[in-house]
Amino acid sequence: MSYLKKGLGIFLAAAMVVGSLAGCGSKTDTASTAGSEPAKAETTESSGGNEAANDEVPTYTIATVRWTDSWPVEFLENGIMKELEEKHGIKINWQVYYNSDWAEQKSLLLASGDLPDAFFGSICLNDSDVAQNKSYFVELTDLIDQNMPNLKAVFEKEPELLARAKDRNGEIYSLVKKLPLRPVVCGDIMYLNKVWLDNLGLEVPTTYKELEAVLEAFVTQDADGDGDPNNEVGITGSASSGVLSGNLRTILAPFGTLVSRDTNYMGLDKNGSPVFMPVQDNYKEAVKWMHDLYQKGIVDPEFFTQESSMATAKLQAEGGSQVGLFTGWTADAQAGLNADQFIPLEAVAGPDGERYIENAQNYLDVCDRELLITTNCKNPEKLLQWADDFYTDLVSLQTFYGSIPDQVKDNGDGTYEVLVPSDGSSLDTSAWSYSMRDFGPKYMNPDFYDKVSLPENQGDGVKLAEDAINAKYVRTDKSNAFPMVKYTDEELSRLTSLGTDIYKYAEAQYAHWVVDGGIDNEWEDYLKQLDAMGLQELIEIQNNAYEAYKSSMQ
Amino acid sequence: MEKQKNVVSTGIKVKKSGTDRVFDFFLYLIAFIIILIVLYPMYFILIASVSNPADVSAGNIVFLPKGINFKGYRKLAEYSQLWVGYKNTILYTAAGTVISLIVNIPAAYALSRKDLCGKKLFTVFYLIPMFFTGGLIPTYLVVKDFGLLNSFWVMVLPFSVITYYIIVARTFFNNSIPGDLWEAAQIDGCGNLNFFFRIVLPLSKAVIAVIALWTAVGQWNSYFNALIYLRSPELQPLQLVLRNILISNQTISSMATGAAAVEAKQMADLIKYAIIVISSAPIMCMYPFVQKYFNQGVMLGSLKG
Repeated sequence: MSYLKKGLGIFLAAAMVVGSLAGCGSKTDTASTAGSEPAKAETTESSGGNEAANDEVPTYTIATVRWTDSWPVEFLENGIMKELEEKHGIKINWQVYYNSDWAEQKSLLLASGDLPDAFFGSICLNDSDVAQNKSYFVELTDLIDQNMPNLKAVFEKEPELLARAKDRNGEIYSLVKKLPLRPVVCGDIMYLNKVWLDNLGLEVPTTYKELEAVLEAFVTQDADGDGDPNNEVGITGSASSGVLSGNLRTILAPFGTLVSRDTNYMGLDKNGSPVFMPVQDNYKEAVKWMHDLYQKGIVDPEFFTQESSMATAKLQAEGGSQVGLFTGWTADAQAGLNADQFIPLEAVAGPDGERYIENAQNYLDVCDRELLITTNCKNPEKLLQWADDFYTDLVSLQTFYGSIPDQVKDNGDGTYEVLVPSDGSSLDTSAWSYSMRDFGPKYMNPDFYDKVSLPENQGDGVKLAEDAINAKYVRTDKSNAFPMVKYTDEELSRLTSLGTDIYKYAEAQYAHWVVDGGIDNEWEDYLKQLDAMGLQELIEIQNNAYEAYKSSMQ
Repeated sequence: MEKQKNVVSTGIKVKKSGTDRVFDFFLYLIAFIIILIVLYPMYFILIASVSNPADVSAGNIVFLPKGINFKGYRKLAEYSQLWVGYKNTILYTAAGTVISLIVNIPAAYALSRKDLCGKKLFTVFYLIPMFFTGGLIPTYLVVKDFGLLNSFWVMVLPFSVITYYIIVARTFFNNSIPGDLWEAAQIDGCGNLNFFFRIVLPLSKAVIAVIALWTAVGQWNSYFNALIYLRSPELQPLQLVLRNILISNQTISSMATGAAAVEAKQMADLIKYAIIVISSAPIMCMYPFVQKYFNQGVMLGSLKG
């Protein structure tokens, strides 16, 4: 042992002496190998638009955020993105961040003022980031007027997009998008285990009572046919702050509880006026029903506690799903290889005989903050001219699915075919790997939709095909989710501070009532507690914002 | 010798009373439980890394691996970001350790010399930033203005001076390099530089080893500086790659819709345990050989102060 110690000690001492004596030599050595790449990066950066050293090719630094580093980013330098740069004679220096690191990096960038020329994609900055740092961003109304003919045409066609672009003062700080080729039923729907249904010889349920009966049969009988009547789960879920919002939009929807995806728990009632859903009478009935389901063993006992990977494991269990009903965008997104077992369920009729279906187009398809120009940007005109091209049909197609010819095929007769990925991954993964997908400015004229064919067995194609089942129940005026309204800066900060506690309390109470029951006795105290937390102020803010939103649409 | 040992050991055996035995029993029991608590998570990661990911998420894995396969490791071999991270972490650790020794040890030695003029002032100067830092944003701006942002050097230069290490080393020098030694060396015609390199350093192997190890482990495990100051994927250290796998794919499931999220998550589930094993193996292999220096290091810092 002491030899080892001595040896190590001598070695380290020697290494240190040598290191310090020959310090200069070793330093230049490392610098020439490891330092070469960053040095290159720096030179391209410093020759950028800020210096305007290179007059011919103005360079812009644009920050963008990606969900995960599992998807490649090479497409940023190739295909349509490269074509657009060449067309406009600009060079874009992409700064790619990943969502997991972004929160820290974002606050640092904003606090230090070390900004790129632009932020690309609504994932970068949220409404409060923009509201709190307005001085960093360029007001775009006049610039759009002078440089963006395509966007202006879009605004004329779709006033909703203009309403989304403008803040409450009528100023425009960011560009908008509307995703193309999207379903009418823009939201999660319920998928029912058809194999189990057939095993038990049951009919597809059409009302919430029938659904309850089917699920009860699933969990009390041997639905999966393995001889054990007790290993079936009716509905499963996982611990997350999204549970209540997700339930209100799907399983509880027969009670007319549709709320915004923006987790503000706001909906529109039967008269079309805004309501805070978790204090409504139909919400109370819905929770009571959910408690019934829980008591009957339909709801997974681990519904509110397990990790999402455990819920997924139950859904995707080898040899057949262990779950009877789930909600999701498409069956394969949740149930993986077991997707074939499930059929999309037509919205079931609620106690009032109505059928409700989520329609979150205003949250998922339409969005602002897709491109924000910062005051660091020296020549925003050219950048906006570049961005204007994103509002054409063909560019939108390619920034949503990937470039021609690798991911999209040009049939030569004005029609286009989105290709099935050759590497065996899903179309969705391929689209995220070879295009901006959901992020960035985007708009396709609806009459162009017919010219694009999607692979029918892939996520987006499947979703569109399933539209026929529920599209007739979609409504936008009443008994529907709250639209994405605009808030003033003060409203936004009040909402954030009030909402945090109120939402958390409502979510906790929901889990408590589903598991333990007792909503009838505790309801009054619950309402009082919410009022004490400032619920009335929150509702007033939402009402004002809704009024402003409605008038901005006219 | 033999005889004496026997006498001693039998002596103890005889002396052991009932309460002693109970005491011993509980001592061993508690030690055993602690070992279990510490070892089990490591063991779990090891077996989870070779098990079927579906069984892992379903909670079917407790003591034995199930559906043994090496898909995760095979997938990792293709995961180029990991190997880039590995290379970078080794470079950062090696360079960071050398630089840390170069700056900390001489500073500590200088502070240990009684004849250093302005010693108090320097000590205070070093101590203040130990308790009060400039904060993240000013530091970021300084790093940026030095042009270190997104470069190899930001990982090894700016945070190499660590006051705590300097204090530990200074205390060591104070106690184990007597002033007489310097006088004797001077009589023999030895200058300051020679004395430091030829006498002080060879006598301070223990403290050098301790500081080298602390820095190396710190560098190996650190991710925050990389998160803040690095942008290029080709500069990212291993821990950041690991963090991306573990965290980004957690949040991705909450994102909008579609199969892409599920696929990315499955990929992450497949490799996440394997990547933990691969990334912690080197430092864990090193640990048994060097842990006694850690103990020494703690002693150096505390007792002799």
